Amino acid sequence: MKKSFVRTFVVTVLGIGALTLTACDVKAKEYVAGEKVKIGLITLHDSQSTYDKNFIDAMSVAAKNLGARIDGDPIIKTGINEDQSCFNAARDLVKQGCNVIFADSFGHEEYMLKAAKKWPQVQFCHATGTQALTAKQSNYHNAFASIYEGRFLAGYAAGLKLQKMVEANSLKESNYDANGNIKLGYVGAFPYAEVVSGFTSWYLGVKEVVSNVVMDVTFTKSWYDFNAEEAGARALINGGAALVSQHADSMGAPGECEKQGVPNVTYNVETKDACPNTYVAYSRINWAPYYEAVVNAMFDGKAIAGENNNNYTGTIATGSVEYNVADAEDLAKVKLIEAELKAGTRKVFDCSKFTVGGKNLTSYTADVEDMGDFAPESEAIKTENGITFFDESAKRSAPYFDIIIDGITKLN
Amino acid sequence: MNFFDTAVSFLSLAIKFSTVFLFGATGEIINQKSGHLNMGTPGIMYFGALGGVLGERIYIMCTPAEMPLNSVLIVLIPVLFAIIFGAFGGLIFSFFTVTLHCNQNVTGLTLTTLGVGVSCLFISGMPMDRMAEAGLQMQSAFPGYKSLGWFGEIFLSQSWFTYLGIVIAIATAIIISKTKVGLNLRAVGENAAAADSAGINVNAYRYIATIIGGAIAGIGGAFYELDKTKGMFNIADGIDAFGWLALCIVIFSMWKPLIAIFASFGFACLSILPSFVSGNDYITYGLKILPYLATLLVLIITSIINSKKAQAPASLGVTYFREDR
Amino acid sequence: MEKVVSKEKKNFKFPLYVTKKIGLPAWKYWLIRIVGILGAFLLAGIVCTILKPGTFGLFFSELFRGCFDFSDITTIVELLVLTSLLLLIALALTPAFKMKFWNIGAEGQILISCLVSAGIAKFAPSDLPNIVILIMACGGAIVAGIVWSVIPAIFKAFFNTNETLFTLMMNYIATVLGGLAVSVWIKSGSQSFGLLKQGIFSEIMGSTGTLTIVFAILVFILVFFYIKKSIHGYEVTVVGESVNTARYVGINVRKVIIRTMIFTGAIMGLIGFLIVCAINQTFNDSIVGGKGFTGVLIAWLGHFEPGEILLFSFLAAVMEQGTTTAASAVSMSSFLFSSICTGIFFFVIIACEFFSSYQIKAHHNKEFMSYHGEQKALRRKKYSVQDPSEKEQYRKDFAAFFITIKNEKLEKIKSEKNGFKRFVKTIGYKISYPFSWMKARRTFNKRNNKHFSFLNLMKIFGYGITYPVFWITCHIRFAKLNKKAMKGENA
Repeated sequence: MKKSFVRTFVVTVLGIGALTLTACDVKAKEYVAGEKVKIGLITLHDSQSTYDKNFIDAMSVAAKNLGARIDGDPIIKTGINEDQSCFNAARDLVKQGCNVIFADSFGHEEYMLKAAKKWPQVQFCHATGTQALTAKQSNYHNAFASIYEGRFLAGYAAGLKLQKMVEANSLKESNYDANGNIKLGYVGAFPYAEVVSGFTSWYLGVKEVVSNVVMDVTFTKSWYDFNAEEAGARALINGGAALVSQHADSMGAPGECEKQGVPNVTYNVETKDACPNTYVAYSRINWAPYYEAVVNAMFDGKAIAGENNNNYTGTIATGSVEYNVADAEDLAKVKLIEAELKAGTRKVFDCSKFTVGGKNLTSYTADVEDMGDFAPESEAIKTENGITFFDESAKRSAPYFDIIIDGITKLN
Repeated sequence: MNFFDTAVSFLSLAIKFSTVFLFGATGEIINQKSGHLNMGTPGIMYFGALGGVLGERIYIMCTPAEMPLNSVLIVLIPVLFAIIFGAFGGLIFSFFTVTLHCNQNVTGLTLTTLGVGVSCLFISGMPMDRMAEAGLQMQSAFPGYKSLGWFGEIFLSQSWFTYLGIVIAIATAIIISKTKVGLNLRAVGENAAAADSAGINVNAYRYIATIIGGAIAGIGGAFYELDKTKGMFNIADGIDAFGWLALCIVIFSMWKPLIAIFASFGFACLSILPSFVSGNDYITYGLKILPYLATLLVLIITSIINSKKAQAPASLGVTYFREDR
Repeated sequence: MEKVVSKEKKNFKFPLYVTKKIGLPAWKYWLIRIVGILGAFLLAGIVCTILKPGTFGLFFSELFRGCFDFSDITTIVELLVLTSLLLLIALALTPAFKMKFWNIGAEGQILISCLVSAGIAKFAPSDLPNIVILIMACGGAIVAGIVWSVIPAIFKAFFNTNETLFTLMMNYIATVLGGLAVSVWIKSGSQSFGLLKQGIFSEIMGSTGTLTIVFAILVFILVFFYIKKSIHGYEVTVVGESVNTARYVGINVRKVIIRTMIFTGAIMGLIGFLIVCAINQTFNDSIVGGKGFTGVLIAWLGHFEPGEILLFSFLAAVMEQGTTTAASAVSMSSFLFSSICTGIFFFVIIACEFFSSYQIKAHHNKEFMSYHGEQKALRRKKYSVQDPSEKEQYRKDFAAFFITIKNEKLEKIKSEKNGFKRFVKTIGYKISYPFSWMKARRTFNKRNNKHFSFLNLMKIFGYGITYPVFWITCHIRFAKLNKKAMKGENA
């Protein structure tokens, strides 16, 4: 009796073991240059969110441009949360034969990296991430764009608008602070480098035109919270902001500005039709050039053009940063500034144009490596063409300008 | 920042949110008085929002391109659709619980899951043409307030939905406590078997109460959606959070619509306070917990006191089946 | 007199009414459920086709690929892990539900356990061995789960506070605490917890959550014995039937309520620990993702029986995993599509539950009923179908026959000395029950010369199919007869 029990038990265990051996895990398809590339994309929400819509639309544009180089339509998985389901989505894409997989949200990174280690034959390209620099995984890439240049230009356009408002005497007493500076407002999501870099570059853009400006920043602690963003904008406007911009994914702030008649600069979405009275300018990242660069590199068997340490930073020149201005005259003026940025004769984070604690920066160590220790280790200030500036996104594609400069006040 | 200005804008926003809560809470009170613990109310509010957006879309589609959009109809038609959709949601709930004798909690939860999913999907898929024009027309339904000073901004700049909500709440309170219909409704909620032997048509009362409650909750959802987006955008999210807080308000106000008016205001203040208060994380999250803790406390205290006046309807959550008698 | 008449007129009787079904044979009950399940999947496919035309076939092929891809064992393992998770949640809720304690706070109880185990796993000193961290995290999670579950129990026990509303509030408090924890623990702005570096399980068969399956099997056996065989289970059932009876019998109802919720809380703690340390290895305030509520539905649909709960957990897992995979093929958001399909699934199954417990009958007057009865008897003769009394006799004879066969088998099993072998044989007996029933039927029919004839089958089939037509014509004929009778009277 005991014997037969032992026998059945052993047989069952062996059976399961055999099943494990014979059953194989997902094997990734080897890719050889010149074959059609199969693309996969993982997004956090679906097209309902302006942030993800940006990526999804860019993928359609890129797919059209790549034409015969890609295998069928890109497989897009939307609504993938920042947990194990990202890894499962990547698995399924690898199973379906994808050669390159893109993802769009910061929280996807760990799972994309895990997948990259498991399937070295597939390229994993994660936007907004920071670990490609230190992970040293050849098939894992991060990408971003020099959106600070786009925001600077949009800020310049806002400055021109502000100048017109000053000349037309349409500002109220509440728009000025005690020192005679005009107040600006900014609704941010989280108080870390990506957002700080964004609002600082916008502020510097406005400051280029109207030098006596100060800015209040309020944080909603969420990437997408309509009510919080609306309330934040309202609080800033009540506090006297003459111009408002934001770095958050809903229409809360632009909607509130439109209701109150305060000019607004947007991100990712051009609100020309939705907010006709208050739309000034917008900027966004166009991901299509990056997608095309990656696929073309794979197809031609070369390294990704413009990539540095597995980090790709798109620029205005590559078409990755786009902007537009409502007023045509102002647009012409902004285009001149754009030319200067492209030529290198002007830098956004020019250290002579801002102060920290009353002094201009000559040196600053930033936490580029993002190992979770929050310890800065890389020198970020550089001198080029006679200008000393903070070299944003040079060492790593995701921004690392996290300095609160004079003139900017964090409200929470 | 001027504290007074902040306070004024805080109060006017609070009243707006409290309108949404009030509609949801009044609808749910009617449901619960009849004995239905309708946990599908968040889903029904979403249905109402969907109805509102659909109504606006249909009105725009039916108006030829040359004709301007009427500023009264642009709000009235969405509200009408919201009532229909909300009532439909209530109908589904009562069909499953009264006729099919399903467990109310289960039906409610399923209805919410389905309502959120379906509504989000369809609202985001709505085409957007003529939205800007619709938005402009809708603005005029929400009167401007700048010229009326602080009193105007708080009390007179609210859209007519707010006043409608208060009127509905007062009417509900009067009907439930003073009329024969209300008495019968309360009887059904307290002891359905006794009500049945007294000749009251229990099923009819439950059906109608849930349908009307659903319609009212649907108006709340539509109001939130229309007001938030001014008919311009097609995004919908977070409406179900209102639904769950509306359920809290029902408990907190001890099933009395008059108390619900003030409770809605209080909860609205609490829920928008985090955006106005700058402080560390503990304060922000502490404020977020407050509504639920307050509700919990009221729940505990009323059950300790065990006063008849403050209790839930005794048959709350119990499906009535005549043959069980 | 007049008032009475008008009252009668006012009482409108809806022509159909509902009564409880009595004595539904098991096979019919299961047939209804299987039809319901298939119908649910079909309806989900139809909805998919309505939303995105032309995707009907694609929906089902992707559903299968997402769940049953035999070339890739990890898919099946993931499916089993998801099943195990839902099973654990529903099992944890079962004792409480059997006691009619409507605990819908599963979401919050699991989340608070996730929070505690995430905190322990993240902040434990890194020089401790992994297994120690795991044990600490598990213990902490269980304590947290018990605390969160027992609070509503205490208030219910002592003050009769409505537990549905109480546990609902606890859910939201837990969610806010979860958000607070993330923002306090993660100093950097992105509020992303990231993957745990310690206190995690390693990958087995392609998934880190594989041990969930083992735990699920253990808890299944545990809950099975707890409910069915233990004294606690007996007390829980009695309290569920009637609190007064329980008190009369001497059961301390308060103790039972609190004790049962401690049991629930402990399992919830285990679930939270598995979700954080095994399956996801991260933490955020939406990590439970609505599974708590799904578990409530599964427990209810499974009538609080562990076996049925297992079946429904599996089906719900198939629905969720399959629709998530299908969503991208039909270009829809995975999260929205999966929640819509799961909602449809549950609605259809709930509706089918109705048909297994209740039946719809129509009001008929007595004369029609007797006429209808006569016509039915004539019809049966025509189709050579057995009438109810014959059927009854047949069933009685067969039942007697089958009982003797059953008893023989049970005798054999009883005579088995070895306890383990007896257990295995009992399981074998239970599994082969339908087959032995069919064999007995065949033997019985042969003995009584009731041979299976295809013609007879077709006749029965025809009888059933044409019943609606018969019913309608019966009504018509009856109406005509009535008219004739009335004419006759008048004349």
